[in-house]
Amino acid sequence: MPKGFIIPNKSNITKALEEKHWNMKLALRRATPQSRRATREIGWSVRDRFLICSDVPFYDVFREHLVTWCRERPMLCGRRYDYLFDKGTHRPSLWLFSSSKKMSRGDFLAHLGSFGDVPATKLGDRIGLAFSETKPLIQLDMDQIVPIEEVVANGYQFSDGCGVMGKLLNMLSKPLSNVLYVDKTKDYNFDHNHRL
Amino acid sequence: MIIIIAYKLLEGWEIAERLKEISRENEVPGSMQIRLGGVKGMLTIKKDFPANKIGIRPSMCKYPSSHRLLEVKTVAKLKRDKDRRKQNTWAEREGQIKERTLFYAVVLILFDLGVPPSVFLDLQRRNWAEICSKWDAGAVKLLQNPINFDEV
Repeated sequence: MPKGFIIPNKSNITKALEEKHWNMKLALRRATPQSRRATREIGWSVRDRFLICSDVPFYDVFREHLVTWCRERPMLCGRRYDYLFDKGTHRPSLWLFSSSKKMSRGDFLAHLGSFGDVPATKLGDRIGLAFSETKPLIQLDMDQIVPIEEVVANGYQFSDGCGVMGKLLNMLSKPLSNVLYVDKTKDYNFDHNHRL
Repeated sequence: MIIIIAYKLLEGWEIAERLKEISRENEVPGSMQIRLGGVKGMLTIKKDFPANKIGIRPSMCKYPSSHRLLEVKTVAKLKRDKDRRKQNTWAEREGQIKERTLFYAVVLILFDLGVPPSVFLDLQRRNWAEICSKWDAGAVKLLQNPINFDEV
């Protein structure tokens, strides 16, 4: 991690990060902030609030990056960044968050949900769920969400992550079928039309 | 059907891919991958289920959240002809996968197919020894316990 980790206020952050070769990019560069739950409901439209430091070799410099980010809180283009979470094991990606007066890092995470019982190893993945690109379908009431039992046979569980829905909700998702389609044999291309 | 698919080592939205192939004639998506606050997983149609409700299993709940907006990530959809032509074979797909890791469902299936538990325990012990040798004792202890987020 280079010393003097400061970029002047008026410079273009995307261009500045590319020039510095810090493996850092804007985290939400691929889609609009409205396509992610983490930023949609707060109403943020500023993309440079989240930075991602990706492809960090774990045993070499990850810990150094982490400690530096947590303690020094560098200033980039007028924003001071904090550590938000890290994700991945072999080549982890480090997410950074620029807090504001109205919303600190703790407030932001409390807005997403309660992470008190989440194991430390899963924490990054769980927070990362709120950053996945999605399309809003419908606001549900509490009585529309029904807990059902797992499918268990011979002591094994066969329904991991699989729920059910009624026909009406299924019909609602029909217009989406023209938009949301991913061919798994290809690499994800987020700029393509069929991907939000 | 779930059991058959589970033995083909598919889970989550890969099951949705399979359902899409099965229900070729149906234009309405048969399943979709969703997010609902801290809930993650996929939903499939159930005919005898109330029309405007969804059923959530405990394995889908990752963390408690007050959000109630149902969001769709992907839906299972009939492939168009031009996409179908481009589709690779299973053998080609295998070649594209660079790295595979063991996870809970695979361990269960391999165990059921006859792999002795000592194999997995041995792998686990070896990995754990590697972690303990490279990390501090405090970090190892932290990994074993749920985290109090206020103290981070």
